[in-house]
Amino acid sequence: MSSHLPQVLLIGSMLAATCAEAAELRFPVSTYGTPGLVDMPSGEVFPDGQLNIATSFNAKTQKYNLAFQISPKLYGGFRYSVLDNLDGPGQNRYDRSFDLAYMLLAETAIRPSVVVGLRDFGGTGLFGSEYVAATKHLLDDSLALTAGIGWGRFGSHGGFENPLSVFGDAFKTRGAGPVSIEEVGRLETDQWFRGDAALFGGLAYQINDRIQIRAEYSSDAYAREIAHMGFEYKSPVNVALTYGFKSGTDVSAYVLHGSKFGVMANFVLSPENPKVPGGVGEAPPALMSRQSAAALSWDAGSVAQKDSPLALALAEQGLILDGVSTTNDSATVRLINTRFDAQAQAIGRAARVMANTLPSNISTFKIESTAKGMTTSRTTLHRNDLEALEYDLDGSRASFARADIADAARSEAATLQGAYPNYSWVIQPYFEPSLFDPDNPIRANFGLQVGAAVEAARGLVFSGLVRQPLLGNLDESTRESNSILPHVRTDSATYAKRSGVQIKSLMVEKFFRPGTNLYARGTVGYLETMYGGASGELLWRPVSSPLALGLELNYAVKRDFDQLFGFQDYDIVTGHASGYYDFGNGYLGQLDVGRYLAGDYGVTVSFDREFNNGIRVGAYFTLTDVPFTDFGEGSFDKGIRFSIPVSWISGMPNQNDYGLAISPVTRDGGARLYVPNRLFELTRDSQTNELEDQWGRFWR
Amino acid sequence: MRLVLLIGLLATALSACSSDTTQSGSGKRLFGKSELAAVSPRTAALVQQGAPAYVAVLEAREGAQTVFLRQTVNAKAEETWISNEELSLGMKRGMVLATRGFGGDVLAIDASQTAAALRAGRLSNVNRFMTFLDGDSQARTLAFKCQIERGETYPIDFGTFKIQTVYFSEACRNADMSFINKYWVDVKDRRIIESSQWMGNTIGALGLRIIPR
Repeated sequence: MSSHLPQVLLIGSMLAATCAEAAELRFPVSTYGTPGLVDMPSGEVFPDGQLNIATSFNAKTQKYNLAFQISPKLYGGFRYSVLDNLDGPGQNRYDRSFDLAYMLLAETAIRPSVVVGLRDFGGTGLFGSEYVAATKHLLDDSLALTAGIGWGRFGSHGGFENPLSVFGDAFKTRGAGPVSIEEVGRLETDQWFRGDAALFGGLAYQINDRIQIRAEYSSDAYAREIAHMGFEYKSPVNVALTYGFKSGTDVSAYVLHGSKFGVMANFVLSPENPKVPGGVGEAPPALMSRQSAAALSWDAGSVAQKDSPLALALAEQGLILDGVSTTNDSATVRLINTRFDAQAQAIGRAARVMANTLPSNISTFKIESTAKGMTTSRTTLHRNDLEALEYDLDGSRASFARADIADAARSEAATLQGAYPNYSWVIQPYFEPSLFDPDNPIRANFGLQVGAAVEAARGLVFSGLVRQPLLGNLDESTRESNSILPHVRTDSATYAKRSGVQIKSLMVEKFFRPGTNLYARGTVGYLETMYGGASGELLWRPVSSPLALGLELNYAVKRDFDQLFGFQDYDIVTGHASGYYDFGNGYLGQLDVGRYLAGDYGVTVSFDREFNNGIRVGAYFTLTDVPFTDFGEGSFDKGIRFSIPVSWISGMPNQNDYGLAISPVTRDGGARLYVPNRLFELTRDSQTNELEDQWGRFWR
Repeated sequence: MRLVLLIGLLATALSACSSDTTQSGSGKRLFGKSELAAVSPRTAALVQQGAPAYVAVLEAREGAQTVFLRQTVNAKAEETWISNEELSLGMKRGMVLATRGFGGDVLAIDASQTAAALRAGRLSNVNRFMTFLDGDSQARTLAFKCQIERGETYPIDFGTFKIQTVYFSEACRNADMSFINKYWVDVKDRRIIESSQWMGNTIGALGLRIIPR
């Protein structure tokens, strides 16, 4: 086993330790990290929403697998594999592959579940195969029987003429697949379900809560491994023995084709089961009995002071009072939430603080949520409802129903005296990994960064971030860009090599609300590692609408490799029109149409699934007018991404996420400018549907 | 190389220095931590006012013990009790209404039928409803069928005096789970002196004993 463990694996093992109760039944996962036996897939899918991180090792092969149950019937997988000497002596193959599988039929008392799947459908085709598999559970579900038919690799042992050829002779022969690295990454539809087919099957038997055995008849002939890697094929039978831990993690030993011994481990992450449901952060303030202005020694004049009881009590909850106005019977506060990832929780606490610190005649509380100085939404609550519902069995639903959430294009709260300018700074270590360089699949730098920001007025921010790398091996990269397009991204290694002080960003940003449902941003300065320039954005987003539309226009100039003040002589006007749609149940889609950094025109399609607690998994691809052959390896830009809230892991309120985006290859086509604080994400937390999704935390 | 990765992950996981002092509202609140925590001004004030108090234990966690002090009572006789560790309990006449800050919190409980049965001191079948905050930030209400049985009388010893109590058990179940709550009720005034009340799978049973003043 190589010592170069991808970051994916490390994160996986961290998370596995936090996963709670185990399922009684072990879910068999193959060496490919998808539902299956040993190498062969089964006719099952994961439980909905499950994220599965699996590794498999034998003497000459490493596989790192990530799979996600996208919807109850559809799952996707990403795999990074290292096959020693596959491309000749001393030439290891570093392979990335994607899988997709769909459950055609769910299991019933008499019928098996049936899954149709594509393996490695857009990579080098090393594992390229398609299958239809059926699985039926017997003996109180302890025995799972699987039978299937496979094509491609899965049709390579015991193959026979494709039964699908009744639909046409085209099914009799399988397409050639990519002939060079430049062709990799396209959908090889002329291969799918074509050529010889073969049958496979097997069983998984759970002996007790901990131990499971699996055996299969494999239809994979391992032809390339035999030819190039000295693989010994003695038998079509593979077997595995699995031990499952209480955490849901399991480890297996397996024997492939009577000759190759290996081990695998499987970590399960269920987004709906954080370590501590609802978190362990401090209890909210209790609602106290109503008090008159006199009893509170309250006066309308001094409530707008930075040290008013209202401001201090809000600060105790991590909420900065930015503005406040009161009338005889209502009060409006404008809040900056610095603690809670669920804005509903911040609003719930602010409401109780208002009830406790404002006199009893004030019975209506208006809470304005903000993002970078912009007011986003205004939530109106009533003292009577708070008092009635604090310990009500149905308090969560009822309090949401009685709350009014509206757009807040204009703030109704007067800015607190002395709120601006507002200074902040941070000194922290940073970690910058670079994955998938074939010379060394994992490189990273580690260093120290210093950031500072001044919010001169509401929504006007001057900020900068400076880095000093301390140790790491990003500078060892010897890859030179071979791109025939303008080198808008492929010089990234040249930037990363620099060991001196680097200005990561230095800019001024202005955020404001031009009108109802409208948000605007202007940014000028050194925007990111590789580009400086100017960026403007306008977003139309009604507070309760699933649809949002945006426009962005940028002028970008490529920065010097030393990442100080200089520029190179490449500049470009880029920009996109964007549509965002919330399909409900956590499914989010985004479409960006426009001009990319290399001057290419095209479209980016993104799709994410977000759980109410903030865990998010998504995928995207970009197609532009750059021909696949000019793009280079990968043919077009694509990737997967996931992020996990720190609060999900720690149980403590926290607004940060652990995020990872895996883009197999970053080239120059379909590349976008990285502008910080794009408006859609910035304004998301306080929209009606986000508040509703997390309203369970209102009373937490 | 692996070392760099690990150092990187660990170091970036550690908190940074910054001007931000508002993120402090967390970290110390572990129910029953072994060392003594500083007494908060809020706790001290309640002690001085002579607020009623409970000794509380988490029965599933050894040594998990703290004291709750009554902070406020609202117009519906719902009480909020707080601990020095920034936990709180909603209570009504000795029955737990809600937990806050424990992790796996109960947002609200309707055990009014149980409370009535205990006051009446009779055997009965009652319904109990509990709303939990689940891992996906959703409020979920579960319903249970419970059977209340009366047991022996039992003196609870407070050192200088004893309170004579009668024991009741409340055996609850639904399709997925079952638990038993226990109550020791003052034979004279029907106050719940001591109890063990189930607060869901994460918290488990919460033991409460009133400290008479």
